[in-house]
Amino acid sequence: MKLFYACSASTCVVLILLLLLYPVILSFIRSKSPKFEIYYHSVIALGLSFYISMMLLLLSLILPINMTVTILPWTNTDVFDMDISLQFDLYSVMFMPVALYVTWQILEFAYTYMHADPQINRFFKYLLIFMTAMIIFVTANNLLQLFIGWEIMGIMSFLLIGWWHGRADANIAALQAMIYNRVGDIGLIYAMAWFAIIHNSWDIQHIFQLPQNEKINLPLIALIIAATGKSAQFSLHPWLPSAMEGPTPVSALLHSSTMVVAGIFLLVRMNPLMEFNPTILTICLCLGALTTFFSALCALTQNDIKKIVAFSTSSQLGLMMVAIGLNQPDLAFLHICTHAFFKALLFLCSGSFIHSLNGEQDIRKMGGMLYLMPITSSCFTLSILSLMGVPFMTGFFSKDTILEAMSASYVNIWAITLTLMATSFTAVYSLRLIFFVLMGRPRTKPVSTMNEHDPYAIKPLVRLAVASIITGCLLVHYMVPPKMPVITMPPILKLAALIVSLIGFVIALGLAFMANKQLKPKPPSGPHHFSNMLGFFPTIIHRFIPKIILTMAQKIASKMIDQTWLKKTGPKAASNINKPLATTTSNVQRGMIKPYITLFLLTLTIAGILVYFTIF
Amino acid sequence: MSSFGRALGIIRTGTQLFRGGPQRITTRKASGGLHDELQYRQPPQITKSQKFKSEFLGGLMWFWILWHFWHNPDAVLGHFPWPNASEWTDEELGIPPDDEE
Repeated sequence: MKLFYACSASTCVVLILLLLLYPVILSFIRSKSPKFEIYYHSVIALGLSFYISMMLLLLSLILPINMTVTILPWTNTDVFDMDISLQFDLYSVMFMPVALYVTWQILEFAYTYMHADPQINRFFKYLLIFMTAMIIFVTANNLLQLFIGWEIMGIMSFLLIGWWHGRADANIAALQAMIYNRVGDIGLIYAMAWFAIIHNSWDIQHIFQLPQNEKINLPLIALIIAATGKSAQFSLHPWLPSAMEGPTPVSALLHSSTMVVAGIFLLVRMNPLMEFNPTILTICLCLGALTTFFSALCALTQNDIKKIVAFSTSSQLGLMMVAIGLNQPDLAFLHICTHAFFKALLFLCSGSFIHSLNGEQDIRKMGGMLYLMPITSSCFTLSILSLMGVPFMTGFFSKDTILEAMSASYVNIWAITLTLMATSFTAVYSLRLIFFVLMGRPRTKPVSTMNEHDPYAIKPLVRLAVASIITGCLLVHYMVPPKMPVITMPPILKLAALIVSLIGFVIALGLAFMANKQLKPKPPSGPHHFSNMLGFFPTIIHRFIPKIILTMAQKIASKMIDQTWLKKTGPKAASNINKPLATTTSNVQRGMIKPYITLFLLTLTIAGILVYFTIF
Repeated sequence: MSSFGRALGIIRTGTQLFRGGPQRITTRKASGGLHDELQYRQPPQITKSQKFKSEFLGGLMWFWILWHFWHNPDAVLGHFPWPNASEWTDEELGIPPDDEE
């Protein structure tokens, strides 16, 4: 039975990879492909891959086997063996259909959104390579395979965020993504080097056998840095909202099922190394709590619809990191899966609004979309309710469980308070989105190109909407967590998440109605300015640190090197040493008799003294 | 062949009677896709199909929430009451009375 499962599972993954790469290879073979040819092949490839991954999922539900399958030996030396091997466990088998389904819908939506783009074939090719990298990443059983997937994602994110490279902002955003991700990569490379030197293996199953002591803290901190860079945790987060400069389908793909969840997935995968390590777990918990709170705070006062959604992603990633810190990797993984559906839907709806409003992204210039684009509005509301964790929507099953686990665990009150406040803020900016985008009267430009008749734009939304309603319940029922979640608790703790969300909702409603009144204008308050300027973080980090480094480099170049070589030890120093001697000598040689006689007598006296002491 | 083309045109017009809502103003652009025409100071024409789909999605969501609330309220309110330790008796806890020898 194990052999059957191993053969079937590895065949499924190889088939999926071949299907995804087929349109890419086709584009290399044919120098001039007709427009949309790659799109048609990509959609078919993704659809088939999804069904194959579903077969694998069903197989793994029937035969719940965790298995590692070695396909080919890679490098075999006396001290270091490495094979191309695939990991089939709950995480990889369950994540593949989720990612493929979401990507399939995003690709179909991109057909409408990117219709006029002259390089559309290349765009779809990039998306497919991105997805292939994610599949390689989630199924990897050794760190090098994992690193290859990780790096391809980094490169493709750079190319896709900077898709409209004619715009300076898009270029800057792509560079930001590249630089921040490289910081994370340093962490991953450090951890890989540590495991190679200390343990002589990159095989993940072998790494788990390492003794859990304080020595392992270093590579684990390096892994946290890697996850911080990729999953945009606090301190390496500014690239995520900037990445909104890319096309909306790219944002949807990056923020839902690929790229940003890769960092959290890495920690979920490596959890057996950190489950008994309170130091590492506390770092994860505090980092996650800070990220979720700070991102939610920044989302409160933004006016760009995509930026708000981007900060909500960052906030949810913080929540996943909190789950890692609570030693509940399964909950973090569950939230990765449920988040993928409703976040992709939220982005696609935002993209649909933006596309229909001629590229307008400011929520203050929207309004009344409920009456103008009813289907998209329904999907938008639905995804927002799921994001808020309304009971029995997809988001509820993971978000509420994480908050319950947090309330019931013995962790510091600071982290709990920040997370609950972030939950409340989620309700506030969610209502703000609904209020400004859907309700009220249209504040759009008088020329309208609203289009809800295109099936390519609507079908993906409807499919993702249905998934955003039901998948949470299905995943919870079919996913048997190895760690027992909290069953019951005092009512106040059980309802805490719901209560804070409701409080946030009510406060936001009151504030939103105040925005319609003619109140005396006031200058923005300090907290508003802080939130609106993203906590001054990009200003400080992107200007202050480069300025310090440049000033320091300038000083080293101009002061230290120039002063040392030119003035203190080099030609200037030789000149300075010789100058007083030369001056003294030249002062004596002035053609006057008195100094000559004085010198003659002086030297005669010295010579006499020397002779005297030599003889006697 | 031309009569066949005319018949198709009649059938196409006839099917519009069964569609929900007025005829949509559509045009096929050179780029190939289906796009609505630009409209100035006019709201887009919402069809019955659009309304139905949007309300169906909303209805499905509320049905899902309320149905689960009815059948599985424990997921929100707690699976069983939180035990109040102050109500436990000494006998339940196995603590012998003070005067026991």
